[in-house]
This record gives sequence, C-alpha cells and structure tokens, in this order.
Amino acid sequence: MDSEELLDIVERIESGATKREKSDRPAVHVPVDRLLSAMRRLRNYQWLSFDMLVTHTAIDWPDDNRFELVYLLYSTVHGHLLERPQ
Amino acid sequence: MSFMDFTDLRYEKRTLGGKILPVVVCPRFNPRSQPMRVFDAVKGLLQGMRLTLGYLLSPSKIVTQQYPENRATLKFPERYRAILKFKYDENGLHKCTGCKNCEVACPNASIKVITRDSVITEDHELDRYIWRLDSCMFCNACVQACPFDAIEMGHAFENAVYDRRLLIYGLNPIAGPAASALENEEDPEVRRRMSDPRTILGGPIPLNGAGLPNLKPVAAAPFVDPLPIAVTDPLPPEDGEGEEVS
Amino acid sequence: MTVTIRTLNELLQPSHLPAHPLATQEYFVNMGPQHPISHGSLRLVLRLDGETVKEVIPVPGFVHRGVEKMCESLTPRQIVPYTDRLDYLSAFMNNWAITRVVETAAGIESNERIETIRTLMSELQRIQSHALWWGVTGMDLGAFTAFLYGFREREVISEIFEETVGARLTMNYIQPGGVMYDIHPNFVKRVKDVMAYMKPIIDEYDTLLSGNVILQERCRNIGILSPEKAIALGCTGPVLRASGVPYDLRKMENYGVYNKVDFNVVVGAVGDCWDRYYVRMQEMRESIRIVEQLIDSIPEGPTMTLRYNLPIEMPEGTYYSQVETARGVFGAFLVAEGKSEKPYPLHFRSPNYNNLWSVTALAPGWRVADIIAILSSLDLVIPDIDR
Repeated sequence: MDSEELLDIVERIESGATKREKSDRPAVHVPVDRLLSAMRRLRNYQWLSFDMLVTHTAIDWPDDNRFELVYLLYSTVHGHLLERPQ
Repeated sequence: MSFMDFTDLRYEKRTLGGKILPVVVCPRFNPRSQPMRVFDAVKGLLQGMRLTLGYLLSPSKIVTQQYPENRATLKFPERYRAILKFKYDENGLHKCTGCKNCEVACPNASIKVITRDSVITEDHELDRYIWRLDSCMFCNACVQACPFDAIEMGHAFENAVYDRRLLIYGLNPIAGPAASALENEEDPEVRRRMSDPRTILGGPIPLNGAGLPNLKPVAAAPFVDPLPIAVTDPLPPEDGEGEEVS
Repeated sequence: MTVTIRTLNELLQPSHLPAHPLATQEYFVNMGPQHPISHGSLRLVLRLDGETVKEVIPVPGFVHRGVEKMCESLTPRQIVPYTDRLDYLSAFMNNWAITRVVETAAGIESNERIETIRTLMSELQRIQSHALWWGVTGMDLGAFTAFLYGFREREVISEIFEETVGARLTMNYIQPGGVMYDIHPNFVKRVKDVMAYMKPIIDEYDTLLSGNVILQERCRNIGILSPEKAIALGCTGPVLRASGVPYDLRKMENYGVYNKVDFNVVVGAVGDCWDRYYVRMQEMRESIRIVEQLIDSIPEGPTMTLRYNLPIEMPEGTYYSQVETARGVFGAFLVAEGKSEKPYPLHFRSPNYNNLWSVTALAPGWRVADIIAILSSLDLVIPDIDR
C-alpha cells in the first residue's frame, strides 16, 4: 500500500482528516476534538491497525498562537508509518 | 556444554509489517521437559570457574595496561582527538589567517578568534586565538572547517588542573599574519615588527590564568621559538585590559 | 476528552491502610537516583508490600540537558556531536539518525562507500554495546568477573574506532554528506582480526555466564512481557524482539546496505529476562556475520560529498527518520521552516525512554531482587531517557 492509498483510507474513515502537505511521510491533520475517536479508528480499522505509537511530540507556532501535537503511528501488521499532526 | 544446549536455535520465517523475515528463536532451558540435576548445575558453575582459572594460569592473555606507569610507551592513533593545537611550518610560523570559520563551526562557542589590523600593511590578521578546553567537546568541527589547515587535534590527554582558568588557552605564540602572508615581506626588520609575542595564559578576561601564583597548565601548546623574528621587547601588560571574552 | 494527571506527590500516597493491625502496610522505597544498577541517575519509586513490588514509578529527568532545545540554535552539522551524548553506547547510530533526516530534508545524495562504512561502524558498535551490556548484566546479577570480560572485548573494538575515528565514545563520525574521515589503512585487517577473535569469545561468554545456574534461575520466566503489551508500550529493539515480535528496522526500513547482507532477526520465545538476555547474545553473532559479509567488499568512492563550510539548505516541511540502535529505534523528527538551516523544532525519539516504561508493566508482582534482573535486561542508558 503506498502513501496515497493510505491517506485515502484515513480520509474515508475519519471525516475530519485532511492531508498534510510538506511531509516526507504520509500525514493527516485531525481537529483536536476528534483526536480520541480518530485514534481509536486508526487502531481498530483492520486495513490500518496502527498499533504502535512510535513517538509523540509537539510543534509550537508562537506566531499563530497555536501548537500542533504530532503522533507517529506504526502498524506492525502492515508496516506503514503515519504522522498525525492535529 | 552445561545443562542446556546453546546451539539449539530454531530458524523460521515470520511475517511482520507485510514482510517475510528470517527469524532465529533463542534457546531456552525448559525444566519441565528436562529436569535440572544438581550435578548439571554444579558443572555449569565449574565450567565458568575453569575458564577464569585458565586466564589466571596464562598471563600472556591478560590485556591490562599499567597506566600511568606506561606513560612513556603509550601510543596514540594519529587521529586521536584530545587537545586543539596550532600547526606550524618549519620556521615556527602559524598558518591561521583569522577567517573565523572555526569560531562559526564550533557547536558550543569554545573558540574565540580575535583579529586586528596589521600595523604595517593594515591587513586583517590574527591577534589571539582563544580556545576553551573546559567547554570543548572534541567534535573536530573546527579542524574540519579550517580551509587553511592551520589547526589540528593533538594527543595530550592529561589536562586536569586545579583552577579552571588554566583551561583557557591562547593557542598562538605569535600574533601576526600567517606564514603565507609573512613570506611576501622581504625586509627582516619589517617582518619582526609585524608579529608580537603572545603567552599561553595571559590576556584579557577570562584568559587570565597567567596571574595565578604557582599554578601551571599541565598540557599547553608548545611555545615554538620563531627563529626569523627576534623578539626583544618586553611583554606588554596584558591582565585585565582589552575586550571581555566569554 | 479529559485527561487525569496525577502528580508524583499523589502517586506516593499509600493506597490503603492495613486491614488488620497485624497485617503489613504498603511502603515506598526509592531505588536511585544513585544506585549501582541504574547506570546513571534514574529514580524508581517502588511501592512495596513486604518484599513484593506492587508498583514501579519511574522518575526520569535527572540528566535532562535540553538537547532538543539546544539543537534549535545549531546547524545540522553542529547537532551531530550532541547526539553522541544521548545514547553514548550507540553514538554511531545516533549520528546516523540525525544525518539521515538531514539528508532526506536537504536531498543530499550518499554513495555506496559511505553507506557501507556507516553500516560497518554501526554493526561494530552494536557488538561493542552488547558486549558491554553483557558484562554489566553479569555485574548486576552478582558475577563481577563478567564485567571485566565484557570490558576486554569492548576495548578491542574501541581501538578500531580510535584509529579510524579518533574517539572512543563521542564519535561525531557520521555527518551529513558522508563520514568525517575515510577508513584507516589498517581498518580492514584489524576488523577481520577482531571478528575472528570475537567468535570464540561469545561462546566463552556462554560458558562463563549463560550456563551459570544462578543467572538462569534469576532470569528464566522472570518479568514476562507479552508481545501485545510490548507493542502498546512502544518498546523497540531487543526488548520487543525478545517478546517474539521480529521488528527490526534493519529489515523493515531500507537504509544503509542492510538489504545486501544476509542476517536473521533474533527473537525470543517467551519474553522473559532470559530471552532479553539471549537475544543480545545471538545478535552479536548476527552482527559479526554482517560485518564479515561487508568487510571484503567496501566499494570505492568519495567519503564526503559536501563541502564543510557550505550551509545545508532544508526546504520547509516535516521530516522523520529512524535507525535501529543497539537498544531500539532512535528517530529524529525535524521541522524545517525554510528560513535558515537551523531546525525548528527537533525531537528525538529515544528507544530507552519507551523501554523504561515497560518496567511499569513488568515489575508488579515480582520481588525487589527481580527488579534488578528486569532493569538489567532492559539495558537502559539514562542520558538517552532524559535527553
């Protein structure tokens, strides 16, 4: 499964998700209020099954007065890595 | 072998992340299928002891180095990085032009290059090359960044001192133009006036280790007597003057 | 969505009073920050009931130096020596992780020779790190002799590094665009000698310590980590592989020249301390195999493709790269703003941090002495946890 297909599936199962540009790995944006449900779906949906949280970090954007949480997920079943900034 | 066989490895294929991987499974002792007998357990211990006894009886296998008794015979690899020093040509002149590439490349600002304009030619030249051993992490970035091959990492590693001010070195014994620029000058009298002597520890704050009584740096850049430049003037008073370096 | 945050102070309240005046009360014992087995400043608060461990609360942060924040004011080349100081026993691999992310971001091409040298150095360091770990584990479990044997082999490999790199611990060798120096003329011969020397030595390790009944009894079936739990906790490296998950980035991600060599992923059967012990022993043998396959065929080519003083331009975007260190997945997450060559921000995913928290799942129910075996089998390097 290449990154385009992966992002398509993520967008289909999680309505709030949008593709994130300028990233070397497949990445989607999710609004913060949908974080928990989106994470559950990413883990439980059998074509994704992201079961390992590789790392999580945050990017602070003081100019825009916001910060992004970044979750890096890995699927030991399918072997793809997904960045989920939101 | 003792009570368990360490060569009992299981080779198999496993699937993970969409890939088929060759896998080797570790051996383990299973007390249910093969009860451990006291004899086996003691045998395992004795085998280990026999091994250590073997080393005791054959001293040629022992690799201990008798440091510091073997200081005289210690050999360092050529690239070993322990202390920053200047390279000198056959006349004892340095090659530094004061371009500050090393200062920019240094990750934690351990190098401060102070430059001046030459009194004779008004060219940009080196005044003081200050290196802080106390904050240096020996990453070799300065040596890699130097386009003139003027500095290198030396092998003197016993750098402990009693006062941390002694860890701040002025690396250059002579302030003045690099050897390449000095060679262009024909008149020996002018050449002498182009360069000034600098001490290893004297200089502006915090480079004032020279004022400490009875303390000497253990490892310092060797003072190379610059043969073509006869230094006759007494040292100028240096303590506490000049800009503050930090 | 609500998140409950419990402070350390709240965690340290006894959960109940004894039901009977004669029953024992739970109490807390600090293990560390200075403890011989923690190999650094790591504080573990043990909630004990008698000798049985009820809960382990790790309190990291004693060696926090703010490396990630510091890196925001450094150029990519200057970041590399800082990564040496995280997991100092895997300095080459840490260098490689940040180098990979910078090379991906800036689009720097590498060549076969550079990749082969990087792979060789990383595998040599993996052997060195595991040899040291073996010695330290022996010492933790009471066999001081093993410590000296482990250090002996570490020294042999350190001398190879000293000759080619010029350092023994803080390498700064793998840099964006290549490696610092070409390999030393003696390198190939020395590595071959050392590999021939190491093979019987690992069998000697087995005789000395693995076949020791005391070590067997202290490790077998102690601290069993199930594969599901290990994945959920984000454990990587030998800790995850010992639980039976063959997750090895050398196979999963295409980096270095690992796709050209033939080696097996070592996994354990149960996930106890013994498996974590023997996975590393066997990994040393696999690493020797990798080195032997590569050492005869180092391709020709330049070892540095970038001029040192030129800035490295990274276009705007987020980048993540990871490598397999001796302890697990070390990743670097870099956000480039495109304005300067300095990253904003940079995050290191360190393997030891995730492996540390597996102790909270492993320890409950075991005795205090078993905590020593469990921690020792996790092979933690504290500066990597605290960063």
